[in-house]
Amino acid sequence: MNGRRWLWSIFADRRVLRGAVPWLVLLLIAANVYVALARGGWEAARDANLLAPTTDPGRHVAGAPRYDWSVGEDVASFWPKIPDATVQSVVILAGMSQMYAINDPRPGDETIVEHLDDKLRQHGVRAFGLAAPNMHNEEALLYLVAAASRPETRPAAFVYGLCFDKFRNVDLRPALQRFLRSRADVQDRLRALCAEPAGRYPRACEKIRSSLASLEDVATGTAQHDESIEGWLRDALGRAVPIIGAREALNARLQYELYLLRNWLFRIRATSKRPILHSRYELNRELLALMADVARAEGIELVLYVIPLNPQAENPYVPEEYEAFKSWSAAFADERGVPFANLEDVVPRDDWGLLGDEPDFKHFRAEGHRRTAEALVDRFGPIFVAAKGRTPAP
Amino acid sequence: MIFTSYTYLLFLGGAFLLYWSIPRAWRNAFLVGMSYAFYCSWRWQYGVLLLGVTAFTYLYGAFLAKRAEPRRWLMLGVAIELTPLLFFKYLPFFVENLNGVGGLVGLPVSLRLPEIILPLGISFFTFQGIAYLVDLASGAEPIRKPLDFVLYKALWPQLIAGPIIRPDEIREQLEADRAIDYADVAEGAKRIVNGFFKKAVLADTLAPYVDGVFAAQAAPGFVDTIAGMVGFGLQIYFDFSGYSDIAIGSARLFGFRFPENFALPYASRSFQQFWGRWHMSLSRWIRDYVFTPMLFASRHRPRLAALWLVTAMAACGFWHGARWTFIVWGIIHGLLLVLNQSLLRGFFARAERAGRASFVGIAAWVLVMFAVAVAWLFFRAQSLDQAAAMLSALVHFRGGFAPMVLRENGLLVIAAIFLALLGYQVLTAPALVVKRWAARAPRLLQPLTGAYYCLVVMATIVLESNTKAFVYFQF
Repeated sequence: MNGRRWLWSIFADRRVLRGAVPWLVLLLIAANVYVALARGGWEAARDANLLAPTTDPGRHVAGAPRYDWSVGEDVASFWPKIPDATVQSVVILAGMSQMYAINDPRPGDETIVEHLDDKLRQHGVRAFGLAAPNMHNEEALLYLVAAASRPETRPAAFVYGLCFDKFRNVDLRPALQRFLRSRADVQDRLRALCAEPAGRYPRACEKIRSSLASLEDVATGTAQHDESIEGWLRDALGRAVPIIGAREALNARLQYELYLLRNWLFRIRATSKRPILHSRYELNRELLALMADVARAEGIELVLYVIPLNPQAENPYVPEEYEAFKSWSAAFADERGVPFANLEDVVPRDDWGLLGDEPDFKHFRAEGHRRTAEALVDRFGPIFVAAKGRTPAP
Repeated sequence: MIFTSYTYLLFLGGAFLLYWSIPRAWRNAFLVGMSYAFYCSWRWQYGVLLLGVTAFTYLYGAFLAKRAEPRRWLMLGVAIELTPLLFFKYLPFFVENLNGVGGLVGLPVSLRLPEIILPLGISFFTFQGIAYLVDLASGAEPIRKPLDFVLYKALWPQLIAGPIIRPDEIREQLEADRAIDYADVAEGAKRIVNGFFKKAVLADTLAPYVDGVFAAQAAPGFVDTIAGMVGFGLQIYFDFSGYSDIAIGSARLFGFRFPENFALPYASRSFQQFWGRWHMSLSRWIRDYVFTPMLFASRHRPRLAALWLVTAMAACGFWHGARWTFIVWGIIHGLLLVLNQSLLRGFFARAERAGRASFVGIAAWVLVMFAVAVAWLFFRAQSLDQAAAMLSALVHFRGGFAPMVLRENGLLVIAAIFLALLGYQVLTAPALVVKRWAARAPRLLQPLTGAYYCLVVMATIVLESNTKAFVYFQF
């Protein structure tokens, strides 16, 4: 028997049809049919999630994007949309989901950064937003260093909204790891950053080194060309096999169910007080200090503000810890000469939306975005305009 | 090209179809080509190194086989075989320690090395080469055909992270006219699917939580340390046994039968049993090529056996990585094995004989699991200081029952996977229960098996995140 006929004989073995294989194939087909039918609903639910990037172009104001619409998932595509900083002054606004999520959105609603851009444009200054859900300080530092590393993206000011609970987050999300991997210049700058002040910021530098190490071929298990083949294969299979195509939606759904299970198991509610994890808090404080150093060295004005919170909603913060955070932030900014404002109360109760049946303590309606932008202009407008024309040294 | 990727599945599927379609005489050459393509997909330079090491081992083996007293020439061959490993893996360690010792005694030693990239799998193919030379010096037959030998060294399923295959385990398979049937394909596919699940779902899910506990400056408390130790023990087991499953399953598709590497190690009721079930190809290698020769050399002084056992296990630790933490891990296991053979010999012998549910059996299992978990702490820690700090957190009950690093998610994931494994392999062996039950209703067996693999495949597709490198790639 030649090789090909023999190979066929394996697949034509009677045990194939009498064993578990037909059941496996049938069940997989059934699962794929079910997923193909249900996928639309899951994706709609995912789109309805305030924190996710919206795929509905009607939700965005017409014209060139003024913030990263992918909210960190495909930042490389939006990076070229940053207004050219060599021909005009640019302010970058970075932060978590409050920057882009609009509760009860209507067509034409604008986000904080779009309002900011409208106002600053009159003074010859442009604003651009780089936000992502749950963005923490290592990611903000990455954006700052990446923006500073090229003259055309180097901002005059980098505005960063401080959110207390983001001080518990660590690790670059996979999409930002891909972004960092594609930017050797940024990797070099981060490496250099920790060559010097490692003694002052041991936690931050250890974390940065570990993030850089995880980008290396061996650590991630894939080389660059391998990754592109893998990406192409995943896309191709995703188009042909519904379960693979819908894996992100399925994964999100499953994670959500597990989240509910965890909450039920540990009796956790949206308002349950969640003490901070000191090690992560310290790490994020060091990363913020490193941001201040980078901004100073690059001639970029770092501007910090404590984000607005819903006054009618109970939040999950331990009051003493939150107060200590605000005091520390103000003292830190004062010590470093960083412009700072506490905007906690600038959005009144009527401008906030709901999270389920309860008031959302962090995401407001369109009016809240306008008010926050106005508050930023009120507090820091002169700084943004004064930065105009000041070309930081390359 | 990492095992748990669609790229690898495409590579494997393509290789399988082509392999069985080409004339038999070309098949080994084809596998050599595919193995080098696989290895060079990381860095082409790796291929040059592997080829060089292969050429040396083959030629030196042929040289040894012609000597009347091959043992006289063995040490030279082993030393040359070890040179690339010493250079790529251990030179930075020795230089760092030399600088440290110089500083301690007041000498201004400050040697600097350029960054050395550790070639993947070098620890594995070096040990494989040493085994070949030692076996030849002991009178074993060499692998005659150069092509067969090149395949022995390069065969991709075992190239990066084992199992460490010894010449006598594969010689006949290399030379034979290999054939497979439906049962081989089914078994190979099952092993691959299970390996994907273990690695991409279980090990990778545990990884971020474990990394959080062992991060520098993390300052974990009592609860975090316990969770970190247990979590890492589970992570490395699922990671490495998953890799071994994929390796064994892939090889099976081409007619090779590799030795097993894991046999329910966490069900062990003695330390000796643990090492008979954990990374079996390495523990056999250490026993036969490190411990036994030392024991034989000092056969007139049997009291030295304990020392050789600790030394062999320290070498086993050092093989894993050029760090003191690995050496300490090896020493701990050496001491545990010595205890197993001396003071606690009777206890463990009784525990091994006793039933799984007996008091002595459970007590021995708890003791073994706890000691193994504490040893993992040294294996995973980034430094001895970190390991000592975590031990101190354990002893001083730091933070009480309130976690200081992990959130509920991490604790829940680690606890759920631990309990699932416990349920599977230690307490009730539900798989046996299912089989017994299915035997009573044989018509249900096939649909149930189909449903099980359907769930495993779907879970792997949906839950795999960014595929991370296998833990053992760094060794």
